[in-house]
Amino acid sequence: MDVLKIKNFWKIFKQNKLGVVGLIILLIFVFLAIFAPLLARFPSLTTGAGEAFLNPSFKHLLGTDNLGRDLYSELLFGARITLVVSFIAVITSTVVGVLFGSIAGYYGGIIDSILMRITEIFLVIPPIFLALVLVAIFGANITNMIIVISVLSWPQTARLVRAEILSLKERPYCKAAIATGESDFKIIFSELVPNTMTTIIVNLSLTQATAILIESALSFLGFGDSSMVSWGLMLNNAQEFFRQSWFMVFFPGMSIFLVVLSLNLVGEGLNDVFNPRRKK
Amino acid sequence: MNYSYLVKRGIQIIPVVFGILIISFLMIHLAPGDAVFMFIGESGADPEFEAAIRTRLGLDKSLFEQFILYIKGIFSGDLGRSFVLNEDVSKIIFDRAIPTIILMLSSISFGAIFGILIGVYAASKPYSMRDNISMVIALFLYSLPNFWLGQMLIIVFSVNWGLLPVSGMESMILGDKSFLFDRFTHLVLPTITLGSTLAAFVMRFVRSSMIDVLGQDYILTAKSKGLSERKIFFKHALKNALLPVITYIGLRLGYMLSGAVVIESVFGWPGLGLLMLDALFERDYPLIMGLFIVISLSVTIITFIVDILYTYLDPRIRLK
Repeated sequence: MDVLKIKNFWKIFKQNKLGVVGLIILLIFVFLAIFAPLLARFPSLTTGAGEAFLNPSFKHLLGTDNLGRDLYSELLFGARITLVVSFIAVITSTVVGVLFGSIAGYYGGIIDSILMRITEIFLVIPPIFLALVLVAIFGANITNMIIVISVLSWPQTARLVRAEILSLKERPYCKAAIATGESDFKIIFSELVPNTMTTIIVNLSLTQATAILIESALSFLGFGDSSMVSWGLMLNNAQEFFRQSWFMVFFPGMSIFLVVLSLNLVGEGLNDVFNPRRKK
Repeated sequence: MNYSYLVKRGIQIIPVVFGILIISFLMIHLAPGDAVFMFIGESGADPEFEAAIRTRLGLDKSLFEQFILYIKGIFSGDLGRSFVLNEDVSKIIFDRAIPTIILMLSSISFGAIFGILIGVYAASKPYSMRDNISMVIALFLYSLPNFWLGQMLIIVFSVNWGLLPVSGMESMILGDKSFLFDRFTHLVLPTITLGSTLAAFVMRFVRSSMIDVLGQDYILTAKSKGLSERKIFFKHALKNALLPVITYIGLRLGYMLSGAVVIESVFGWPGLGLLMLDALFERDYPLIMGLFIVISLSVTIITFIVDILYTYLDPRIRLK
């Protein structure tokens, strides 16, 4: 049954050529991140692996930076931080968003109003401002970064799930479940939430794209975890050395762009699979 | 104009405003460590001075009393005093707001015009080659980290070709250039960088809005009356499809301001974003909180105005 489902899924997904391209790019980056220690030529943050500002060559595939660090190796380790931070943040924010969204959608009334006002507050506060203030006050490290990105991302998920639940709870099967006296908890988490899964999965890849952009922007501005290399941090470092080397800027930024693009492409591909009506 | 809608919408923003104030208040008070040390540093001043600061900041009162005092201060326009610059926070923010407003206005104009043009072009032949290419452009633009786009533009146009200035808002020495031209050359790259993300979202929005309008009954009526395709497209459809774009751009304002912080840092643009970053590095808490409140409240108020403007322009909403 499940094998059939996956086969069917793949059959629809592969029709979206851009989605497939996105998936391939994404998998390449995930592969590079997982096997970074094996693929890298130098350990992370090795200064003086070569001379400073070397052009790309066979020894240094992507050149070296101002401290003679091998950009190729740094890029691989950077992939780990960027992908892991955004991934954990997205999972956390999705769990919180689904929890609040489903409760608000199901119960309505005061709980719903309060929740909607809270999400509205997050819509008017410029995300980077809030993130910067939080990181500056509570300290710039990986854990806080994950918390901050989750705080910024959950309201959108909550609104999305709430809207779905609002329409789902009017369906006959849900009315039937209520009539048979099932507990609210069971109705929400075994009847309603599973039916919003497709929306949540599509949202997951799009949210992660945004999360990576926020993480990179924070690191770029100098509010990331400076003990660990990430793509944003590499760009922050490159800011002073425009004249000496363009590839210090080019490669990390290109990586962020490709990963974000691939997540957006995969998101659209998934959308085609799960919401066939929204397709042309 | 329907005033009941205005009032209803006005009441809705009250909890949002209070929410922003509560968040900013809590952020300072939940921060690890004693708040006094944020103001005088960890070095440990003499206890008398510490007590004086505590009283001056109202930290010897209960949390609730402090909150009331804080709210009172904000509504009388008193955002406190910056430690580092030793000036009133409200004055500093006011002085630095103009560069940001200039940057925002030019980026929004650029993004809106560019986005509407491509969006309309794409919608003129849905699902054709031009539509697909336009949408891929949009996808590329909003996947670009805008600070990176800015850096690359500087490398190409300023460092390699020497066409445009690398950073700042004005040249130290004007030379034989006119003042306006000098400002303009400084504004070009930041505007393109900040406006391109908006353009991407506007493209997609205008396209779907156009396709939506073109499928409606009154377009069919116009067609059956024998009006030319061109006339229907530009006169009947475009006008109606562009209206919601106003609200849409209003909704993206918060994101634009977020982008502005990053872009101002890339281009050394002396606006509120750069001020915020300086304040954060210096740990100038009154200035940080002041900026946070002013920016968030501005977005709230502008969103409100845009919303009202929209109902004024589109009678259908007013009558609902």
